[in-house]
Parts: sequence; structure tokens; C-alpha cells
Amino acid sequence: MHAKIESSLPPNPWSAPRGPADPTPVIYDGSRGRLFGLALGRMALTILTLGVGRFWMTTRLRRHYWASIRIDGSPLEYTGRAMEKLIGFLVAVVVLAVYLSLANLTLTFAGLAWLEGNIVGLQLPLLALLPALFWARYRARRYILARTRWRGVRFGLAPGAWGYAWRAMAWWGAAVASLGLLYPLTQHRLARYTTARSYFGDLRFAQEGGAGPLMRSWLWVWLPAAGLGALAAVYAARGEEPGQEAALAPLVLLFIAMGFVRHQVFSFRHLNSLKTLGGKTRFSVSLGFWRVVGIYISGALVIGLGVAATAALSSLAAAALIGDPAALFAALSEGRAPDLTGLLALALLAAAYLPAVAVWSALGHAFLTHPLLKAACAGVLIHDLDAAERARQRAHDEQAEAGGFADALGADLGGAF
Amino acid sequence: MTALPQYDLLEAPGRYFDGRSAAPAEVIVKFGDASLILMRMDETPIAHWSLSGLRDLGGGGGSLSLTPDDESDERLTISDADMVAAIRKVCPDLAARPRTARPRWRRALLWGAAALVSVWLIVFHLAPALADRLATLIPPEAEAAMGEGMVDQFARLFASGPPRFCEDAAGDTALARMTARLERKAGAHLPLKVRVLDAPIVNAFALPGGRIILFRGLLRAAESPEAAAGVLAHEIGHVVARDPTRLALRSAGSAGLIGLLLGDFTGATATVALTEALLRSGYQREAEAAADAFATRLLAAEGLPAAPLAGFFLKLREKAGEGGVFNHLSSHPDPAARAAAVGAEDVVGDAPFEPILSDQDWVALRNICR
Repeated sequence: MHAKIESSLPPNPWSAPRGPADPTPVIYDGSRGRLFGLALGRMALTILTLGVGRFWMTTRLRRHYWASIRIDGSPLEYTGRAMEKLIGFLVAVVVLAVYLSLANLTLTFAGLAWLEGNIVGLQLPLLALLPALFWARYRARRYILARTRWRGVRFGLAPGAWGYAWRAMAWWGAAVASLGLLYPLTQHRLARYTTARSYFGDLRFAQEGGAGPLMRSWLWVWLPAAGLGALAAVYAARGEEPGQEAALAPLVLLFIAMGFVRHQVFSFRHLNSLKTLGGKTRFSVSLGFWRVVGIYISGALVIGLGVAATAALSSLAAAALIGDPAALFAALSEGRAPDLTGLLALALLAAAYLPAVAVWSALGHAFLTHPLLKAACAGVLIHDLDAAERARQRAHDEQAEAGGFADALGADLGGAF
Repeated sequence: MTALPQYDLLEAPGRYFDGRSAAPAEVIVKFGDASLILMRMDETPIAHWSLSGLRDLGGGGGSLSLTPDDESDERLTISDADMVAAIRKVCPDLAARPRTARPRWRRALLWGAAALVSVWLIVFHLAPALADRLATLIPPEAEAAMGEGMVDQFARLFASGPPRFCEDAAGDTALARMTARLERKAGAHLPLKVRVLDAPIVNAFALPGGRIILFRGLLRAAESPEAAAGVLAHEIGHVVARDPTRLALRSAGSAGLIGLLLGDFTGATATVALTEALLRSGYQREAEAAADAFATRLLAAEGLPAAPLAGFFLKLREKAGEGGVFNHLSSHPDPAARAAAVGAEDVVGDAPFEPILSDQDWVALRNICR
């Protein structure tokens, strides 16, 4: 009986045994066209609903991106819901309105009463926002991981938003105090904190390796920047204008900017290549710097052209509907209120930029996020995935506010994610 | 929903995940009456999944990843082309959106109302009240030091070159006389420091620490010493109400809350900036009206007429033209309305009064910047 079934079945696509020596690739095969249509439609809805639709947009786009990533034949799943995001956002507004108002008032008062209202004193309210931002980012990450599954098994992030917030304050403080020199240490320590609390099922991730390689990569950015800053300070102190050598400054700035992108790509590769899951499963990441630069340049071109074309078309359409703008401009330049048709025309002109916003967002997904994700996935190999199959299911993490704090504070993890 | 007879004999391999671990189990998949049957290789059935509950998880690459229903942890992946086609044909709801057990619109509406009410309460009641209270707690020395630091920065905003404060023995004496007479009954919490800035603008400002800056243009535009005194009394009103610090605190207390409500969606930034500007000018207009009322009371207490100040406002109006809708954005109320309000409180009328400055002093003050 058994033999008969075996023979009647087509060859089992998974039957080839996978040895520890054969790494598993990560497949991303999302369709750019579908993504563009999805993003455009959802952004249009978001605009029409004055922003309320963004929860549905994020949810739908995340479902699309997640499902487009397959590991060993099984797709990632995103199980977050739009309604929980909306409710979480509203809860966050209630809490943050009280917190921000009181914190801003107290800190502004302190700045006025004890720091005599100087510039540093008036920046104090920003300090009230920072811990809230870091806290919210960690919670948002926890929500996303709690709503991500592979083979039905949940990912997760252990509680620790407060610990993350004060560590982030301390490490970013160190980075700022050292004029940026310690930034790689900030990166590494925060990545280690978050990674050590990340799980797939009951298997825990870990961040190995130190900050040394990050530091070496960062010096390519920091040393030229520090040199340039020091030179500028010297000239300022002497009260001299820099001579012909100032012509070199743009070149150095370009070098610094490129170095910064290179460093970001390097840290992505370095940090992710040294993550382990359950002590056995490892990853190797090979994302090329020039690849990323190419994606950004071509993406910027496409987005720029697309947005310009849309803006031109919609302003033409608006202008055609308005008719003669001379009367309107005459009224405005005299400081008079335009009449009703004038007001309508103004509203139409203001609305003409909305299609460009929708196209901007959709092109951003199709020509930046999509190719970046594709390049990043194509460079990932997973070693000893079999060890990860031991993972046992973890409990549902309710996360009632569902990333709402990060959304309200505008600190969500990038546009798409 | 039932399987079609043509698929009765169809069997295909699949990979089953039980939802308790990530380990795969090789299974055989075939159709039952209204279900998908998952069997081990030895044909012992593991699960019957109702065809109507099946959902596609959306993975591409020619294979189909399924879950028996939206709540389940179990998963099945099939890559046999015939079986994938058959399931897609038999189950049209495959791509239905995941449904929550109960829609939560009621909760969303409740929290939405709570969010609106809390922002409204804070922006219009809590933050202003708290700011007004906190402003009285700022030590006068701190306020004085703050004003000292701000004077030069402020003056630089209005001068093309380095700012110049006008000094002239006769003019200073006249200014001191005018200030002294108004200060007597003002009840300010710290001594006034009035200076004239050499700038052609018709305006005056109150800074923290009792500092008042009159512009040369204002003294030139005023037709009588009483009109200038009226403007000075208005600025003293700002000092007494601690407006410079109070309004800074009010703005801080409501800053960012409107942005919070609209969230970070593109295009909201302009709306946020506009509403916050409206809010700030709302606070400001309230303070201006209060300062006008203070000025008329102070003038009346000194037996001075308010009509010259009213005339001055009307003159401003001729220069600026009518405001129309833009009035709502400007920080000062409509000059015509101000003139009417101030003029109505004039207690002197045509009766004689003791002028605030002698003709000689008035000439000296107007020429303080020569």
C-alpha cells in the first residue's frame, strides 16, 4: 500500500535531505506591479480619510511584504490587524496628550525659571520626547515581531521597553558627548539588547561579536568629518576666510556622505551576520554597497520624475478648472479675502498636490523598499535551519496598543514597516 | 462547499506544521466530502480541514500555503500543481481577508471620542490654566535676566545693521516722566525698563523682565503724547499679565498635541502648522484684548483720555488695509474693533486734563533718535 502511494505521487519537492553544509536561501519574489497598485490605492484611501486609512494601508502592505518572503518553501506571515492599530493609536493619543503637555510645561518652566530662557533651556522639552520615542520604538518592534509567523510559529520580543529607553538615552548621550565618535558603540549595544530579547518560538536570538569592526568602518566617516570640523573651527577662531582649498570641501562632504551609506550597509551586514538563533542557526549576509547606492540613485530618479509628472498634470487640471487666476492673485496680494470662487480655487490648488503625495508614496514602495528588500534577501543565507525547526510555539502577545505610540509620535520603523 | 467529483482520486504530498513547533511533517493531502484530508504516509488521518474555512497565506512561487481558519496555528504547504489548482477552484474564499472574531468599531469610536476630548481639554483648558499659574511662579530675578539676554537678539530682528537704542538727555528725561506717571498705578511685579529702538516700524513690544521696546516709527506716527502713552500703557498691560512668559508656557503646553491627533501621514504637516498658528494667535489675541482693557483702565486712573489711542488704532488701520479672513491668523485684533472698544472707555472726553508730557518734552521724546 505504502509503496503504491509513493509511486503514484509526483516526486516530493522537499525530499532532498539538507545537510548542515547546505545553507538555505531567503527568497523574495514580491511583484513590483502589484505592490505599486496596492500602495497607490491604499495611500489614496489614506488621504481621503484624513489619515485614518493609514492603519489599513500599513497592515495590507506588511501582509504583502511578509508573504513575499519565503524560507525553505514557507512564507512569512503578518497577522496584525488594522483595527487594533487604530485603537492602539487612539489610546496612545490620550496618554501622550497628558504626558507631553505636562512634561513640556514643566520643562519649559524649568528652562524659564532656572536657565533664564537661553537656547539650551528652551530645548529641554525635546528631552521629554526622547525617552518616549525610544520606548515607543521598542514597543512597536515588539508588536511587529509578535504579529510575525513562520510555519505558524510566532516570533516575539520580550518586554524591556523601559530598559531600552534608558540605555538608548545613555548610549546616544555618549555618542553626542563624544561628537559622534562612539556612535558604533551605541549601534552595537542597542542591537545586542534588542536581539537578546528576540525569539522565534521558544528559541532565542543572540548578537555575537564586538563593536570593533563597526568602529573601524565608522572611522572612515568620522575622521574626515572631524578634520573638516576642526579646520572650520581653526579658520573661525582666526577670523580668516578659507582660501582656494575651500573648493575641496564639497568633495570631502561627498566622501563623508558615501562613507555614511557604506557604514550603514556594513553595519547591516556585520550585525546580522553575527546573529544566532537558538545558539545553532546562523546567518550570512552579503549586501553590496554599490548595489544599495545604485538602488537609491535609480529610485530617486524614478520617484522624482513620477512625482514631477503627477504634480504637473494635477496642477494643469486644477488650473483648467480655476480659469483666470489674475483676479485671485490680485485679491491675495492686496491682503483681501478672495470671494467664494476664489476660495474654491485655492482649495483646488492645495488639493492638486495630493495625487503627487500618493504617487510619491507608491513609487517609494515600488522603487526603493521593493528593490532594497529584494537585494537584502538575495544576500542572506541561513546555516543550519534544521536547528530552528526545533522551535516550539510561543504564547500570543496581546500588545494592546499595537505600535500606536510610535505611530502617534511619528517614530514608526520606516514608512513601510 | 463540496469537492468536485473529478478530484476524488487526486492525492498530493504536502508539508504539515502542527502549530506547536516549526518541524515539518510530510503528509498526503486529498479531498473529503467538504473537507481537505491530511494523512500520514501510512494513511492514518491527521486532520480534516473544512473547505470553507481554508485561507491562503499568500506565499508565491507556485506553491500554496494554507491555514484551516484565521485563528489556527496549523499550516500546510502544497506545491503539487494539480492539487494547488484544484484547491483554488474548489475554494473561492481562499483569499478572503482575515476576520476578527468580533468587530471592534464600538471600542474604536469610544477611544476616538476620548482622544478628541482629552486633546480639547488640555489645549483649551488644562494647559492655559496651568501655564497662567506657573508664570506667576517664575522668580522676578530670573525673568529680569531672561529679558536682559533677549533684548539684543530681539532688536537685531528689526534692524538692518547693528541695532541702536536711542539715547538723548532730553528725550530720556521725557520718556522717564511718561513711564513714571503710568507706572505709579500699574502694579507691575518688577520695575519697568522702557527703551526706544531706532527702527522705522510703527510698533512696540513687551519682553520678559518688564522690558518695553518702543520703535522710533511709533513715536513719529503718534499724533499726541497721550496716544504714545496709550501704547505704552498697553505694553505695561502685557508686563503686568506676565504675557511674554505666560504665552511661551501656553504654547509649550499645547505644542505637538494637534500633530499627535493627525498622526504622521504625509500632507498633515501643513495642517498641523496652520492649526498651531491659529491656536497661538488665539492665545495672543486674548492677551491683546486684555492689554487694551488694562491700558484704558490705567489711562482713566491717571485722568488721561483714551480717545488718542483709539485714533492711533484707526490710523494703523488705514495703513494696513482691511484684514478679511487673514485677521484670524494675525496676532492682533482688528484695529477698528480695538479703536471702538478703547474709545468707548474714554472717561475724559472733551474735558480738560493734565497732559502726560509738556509740549517741550513731547518734542524731545519724538526726536530721541536724532
